[in-house]
Amino acid sequence: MDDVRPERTRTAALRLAAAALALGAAVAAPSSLAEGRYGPLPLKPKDAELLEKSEEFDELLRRRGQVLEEGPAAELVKRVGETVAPPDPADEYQRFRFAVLRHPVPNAFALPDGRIFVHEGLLALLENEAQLASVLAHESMHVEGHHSILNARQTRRKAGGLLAFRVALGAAAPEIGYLATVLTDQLVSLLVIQAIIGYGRELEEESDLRAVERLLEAGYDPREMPRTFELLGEDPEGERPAPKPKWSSHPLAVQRAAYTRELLEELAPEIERAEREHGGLRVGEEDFAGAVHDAALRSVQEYLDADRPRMALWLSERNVERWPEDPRFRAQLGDAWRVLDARVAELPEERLTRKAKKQAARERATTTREEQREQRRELEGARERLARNLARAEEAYHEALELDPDQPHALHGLGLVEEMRGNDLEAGRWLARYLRAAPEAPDRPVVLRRLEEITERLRVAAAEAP
Amino acid sequence: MRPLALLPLLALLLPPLGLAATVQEHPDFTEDHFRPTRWLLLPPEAAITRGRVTDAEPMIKETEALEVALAREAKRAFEALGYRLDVESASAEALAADEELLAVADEARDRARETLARAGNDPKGIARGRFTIGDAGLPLAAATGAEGLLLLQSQSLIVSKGSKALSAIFNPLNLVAATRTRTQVVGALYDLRDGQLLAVVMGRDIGPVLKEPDEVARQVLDSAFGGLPRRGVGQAAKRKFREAAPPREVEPVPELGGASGEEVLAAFEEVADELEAPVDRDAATAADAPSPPAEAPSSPADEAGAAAADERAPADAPPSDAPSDAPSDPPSDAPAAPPVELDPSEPEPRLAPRAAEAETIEALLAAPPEERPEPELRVVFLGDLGETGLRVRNMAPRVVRVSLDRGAWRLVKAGGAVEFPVKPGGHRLLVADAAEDREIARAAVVASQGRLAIVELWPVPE
Repeated sequence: MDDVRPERTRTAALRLAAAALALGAAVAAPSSLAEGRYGPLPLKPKDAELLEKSEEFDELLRRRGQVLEEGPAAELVKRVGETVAPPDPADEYQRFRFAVLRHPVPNAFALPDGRIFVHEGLLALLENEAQLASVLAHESMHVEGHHSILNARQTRRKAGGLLAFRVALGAAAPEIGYLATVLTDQLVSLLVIQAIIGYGRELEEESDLRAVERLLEAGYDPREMPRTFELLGEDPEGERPAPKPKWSSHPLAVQRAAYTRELLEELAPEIERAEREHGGLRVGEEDFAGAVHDAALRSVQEYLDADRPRMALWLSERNVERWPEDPRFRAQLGDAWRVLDARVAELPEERLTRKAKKQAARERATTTREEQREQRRELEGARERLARNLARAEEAYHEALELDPDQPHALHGLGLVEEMRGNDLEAGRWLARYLRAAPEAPDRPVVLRRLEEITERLRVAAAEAP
Repeated sequence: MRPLALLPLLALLLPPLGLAATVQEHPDFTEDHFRPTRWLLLPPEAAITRGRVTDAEPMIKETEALEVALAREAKRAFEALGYRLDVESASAEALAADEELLAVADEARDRARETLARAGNDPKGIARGRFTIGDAGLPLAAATGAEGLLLLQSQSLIVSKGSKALSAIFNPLNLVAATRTRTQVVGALYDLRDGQLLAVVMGRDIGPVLKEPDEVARQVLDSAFGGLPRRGVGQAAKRKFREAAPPREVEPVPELGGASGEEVLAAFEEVADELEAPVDRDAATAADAPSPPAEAPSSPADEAGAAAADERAPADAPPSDAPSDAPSDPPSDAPAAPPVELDPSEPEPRLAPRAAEAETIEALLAAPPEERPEPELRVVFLGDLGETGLRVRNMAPRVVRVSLDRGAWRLVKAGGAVEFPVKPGGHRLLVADAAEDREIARAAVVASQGRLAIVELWPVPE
């Protein structure tokens, strides 16, 4: 690789600036108001590639073990999906299939061939079948309206700017070489997407509105839809940057809740008619809880493993209300309080500004978990917060033990709480009970090592005691 | 699908080098201190993109062939260095068939990716020992018997004919466009025993990855692993990193080459029992202890008059059921503790603390060990006597306050006792000075179903 001399770098910078201007001009042309196509849409050759990729993507997900093939959650999503999907797709290449992905982030997406995936994290968030139906109906509308295919076609039309930028960048920065080209493809794709964001957002709104009609046809209560958006908008960790609307293909959750609420008011007569026709509109709470029980457990655990205790706390509190007799959810609530450590449970307003979120994101990206823990324990009031959170954790664990005296996570959690307080003897007792209650637990070596360390500290303390 | 987290790492770690090599190593790895010899490979993740003139096409199904090739070549390359690389135990098929294994593998992999992304912002931090996945890898180690973890991610860019044609036009004009297909791989090596990120390696190749994935995998991994030390061969680490990296002591993990689980439990129980046992108290004598003393056990209704009416066992006489050889009997000439007035406005004992009490109790309980005073009383458990509840007897010649489970303070006069209604299970006892907010002793108490737990507070023998 050539050495970079200052004058070549200056020239490179000028070329880069010129390239950026060229791109800006290319993509700045206003796009026409976009709508989906809800009848048959013949495919162009490039469109067929999209469908091939859909199938390959599905296979990749299954190969990597990401798809939940069986179980109550998979059956629920399949059943509800098939209820809200169009019975007779307009095109042969569309076949509606529904699956659950192992992923904690609340999300769902549709591929152009009719495959629709729902993340476990979304199931853990929702409260009833009608909310799930609103999500699946929305995704079905993307398929029915051929949004992906139309979106891809528009992307290709705009990509003349992409060509100019790539060539200019190659000229501007030969020193960067291959790596820059790879990154540039990613970056420029983002820029091009930004130019057509208005198109994407309009289609999202269109899908929301048409989904309401589909829900009524299927007998589900569309009045659950605004609540779905409220749930999707929950952000206890304050990590979602307040998006500038033009950067998001999804309108803000709060906006979606608002405009669907307005729409539902306008559609009140239709809703009443549908209620009469169906003998009531289905909300479906009773079976929903049983089907998403395991998804709820796994989602909280994933958030705890990812050091996102506020999200875990928010979910756990709802889970305890929903399943009050299940000790595992109480134990998870204890875990959430314990992992919260010296953090506040609810972020104050000043930490939810865009600037504060960016700063927090930067710190998370550049510091390790251990460093973050040390830093927050030095903050003012940390000791009191830690004591309070551990007390709440302890309370939740004991509640779990009242339901099941040998609940393993509660026993383990109490041991960790006592260790965090410096009470080694108590900690050891609880951990020993845990090991006996759950001899096959996967984290057995972790706990045994911890117990070894506790024993050593106790020995030292005993030897040093007067 | 979880995103590939290594793209930022590619951008930030790859120096402007013609040849790829190991990027950074922890000095322990370089010097062969605690270097793992049995490694585990998680399923490699590959991404192949065809960069066309107007867009980029992800080549999804083609990744499978490359991922299989990467696993096979990684095993060959590692074994050539003298290490063992297990590519079966955590293969995609093995993980798909075992949900518990998938969960522990996912946890380790997610922590590894998170750590690697942070390492991308501070590559030299790898050599300083800054990055670790903590205990997240131990369950995976237990499940597979591995000591180390290898994570592999690769990215390939295929240049389309159109792009090559464009390059033929633009390159002579000194406007350079990409002309060659390239594959880059990043490998991260972790010690599963203590979670330390030991090394990051990178390799690249320009071969036709679609037509010859096996050959490309071979070349790119030979390029990446070419700088790794052979098994058993230690090299001198750079002094600045040796001095900056905190010392590692990788102890044998229980049940993974270390002590058995039963040995660990037994060792703890022995120490714990010693610490909790009363000094010179004979266990047989405790089991033969006579029935409860004639004095009426204090009940909530009696507490109000306790301060004035408590003429029970004087401070200088041991309770009637105390073993005669108890060494910590209060001396017979010990002065009686001064009476402490109870709050006359509270005829019934409060169980819920007031706000100020709760704060004090919380602060005392949360004090780290190094800040706590030496215990002035020893908490002694007498065993079960056939009723329910928890009774705390004060055998010391002083008035104390006790709080159970963060409840309100209750005064216990010298020789006196208080009872708490408790549910079976563990409970926390805190004993403090009657006048000052100062801890005297603490203990964890377990009350069994349907049995009375008796706790006695004795002075610590001199």
